[in-house]
Amino acid sequence: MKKNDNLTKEGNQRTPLADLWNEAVEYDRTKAEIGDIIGDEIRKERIRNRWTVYSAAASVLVLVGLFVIFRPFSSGSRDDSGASFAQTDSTALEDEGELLIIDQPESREYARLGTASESTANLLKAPADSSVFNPAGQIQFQWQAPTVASVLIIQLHPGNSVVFRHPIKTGDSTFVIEPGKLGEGSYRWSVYPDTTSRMFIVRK
Amino acid sequence: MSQSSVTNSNFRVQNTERSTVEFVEGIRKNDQETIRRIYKMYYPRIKSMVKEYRIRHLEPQDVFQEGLTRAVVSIRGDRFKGESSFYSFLYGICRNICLKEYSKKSRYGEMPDQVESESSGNERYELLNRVLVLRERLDRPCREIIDLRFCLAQGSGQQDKCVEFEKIAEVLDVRADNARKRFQRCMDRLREMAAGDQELNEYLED
Repeated sequence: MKKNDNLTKEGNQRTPLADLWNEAVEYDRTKAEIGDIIGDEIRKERIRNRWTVYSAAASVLVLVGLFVIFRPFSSGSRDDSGASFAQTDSTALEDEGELLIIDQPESREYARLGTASESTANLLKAPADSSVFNPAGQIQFQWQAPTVASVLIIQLHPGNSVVFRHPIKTGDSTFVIEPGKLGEGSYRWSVYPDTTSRMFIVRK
Repeated sequence: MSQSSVTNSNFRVQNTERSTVEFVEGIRKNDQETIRRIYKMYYPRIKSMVKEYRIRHLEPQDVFQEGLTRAVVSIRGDRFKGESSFYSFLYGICRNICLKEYSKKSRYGEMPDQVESESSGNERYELLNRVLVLRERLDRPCREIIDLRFCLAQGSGQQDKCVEFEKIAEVLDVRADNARKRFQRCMDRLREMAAGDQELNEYLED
């Protein structure tokens, strides 16, 4: 009887501790379960992010690859003057008045046309190839009057940045660049859509 | 307020209520998918909140894990009465965890008032953590026999009735009186350790 009383007492005393113990272990288990699920989600998220990075890197590689593969085809068949038109960039001369940095698509098209024959070489009259001008002087351009709407294009050489573009009406055959508009350097000029070009130099 | 904004607001409230009910049901059923959904839906917001406290050692992930654990334990223990949405409940718990950490660091200044809501109960969980520390300090056989006696053995499924010593003896492959003696020895050790913890001792004396 005495033993039973002791056990009852022991049982009563144990109750809060047992409750607390049970609750603590349950809490610990729950925390571990949740930790596992969160860890799993984080791992999945990292894998997803990794794939995104890999996909982006692969896309860049593919684009670079395509560029490397197709670039020689577009430039390989050109003559010297044509090649220069394809290699345009946006770091051209400073924009002033009509001096503009021209977008590339048109000049690329022009580059393709640049493979055409020299039969129209005499279309461009002045300045002649390798003419030299003083930056302080004006430069007069002269060409055979086109029968279609055309564009006078001047490109920096080397670099081939389009630094000037001027629309030409049908029948117009001259244009003058005012002194100081073009800085020192080598240039290539042409009348789009004709494919030929001429070099000239501006220096003191 | 226009009719459409009222409709939107009603829709949002209904949506929140629906997710609260779904979450509570899922948690009670121990559905892991529910935990995943809660993580995906609420972790970013809890993370932002934790970061606002600018406590270097406080990891948003740890706060979220602790907060969600407390929320789950409360729901399973029927202590969540549904007076607020599940998100508010979880947010409140996580915020209280952050505030507690904030107050520990005196250099952060005065501790703002804790959120008075269903989410209060930091002290209880601190007590549980103390018990877990004591449990870890016990050797494995002691943990095992106390778990068995307190019905925590995996799959015992008897939360309301403690396992008889005869059954414990079977599980541990010892005699029943040996199991009883071992349990009493372990309990003495546990009580001894608990006596060194003032708050735990006070709680047990109450």
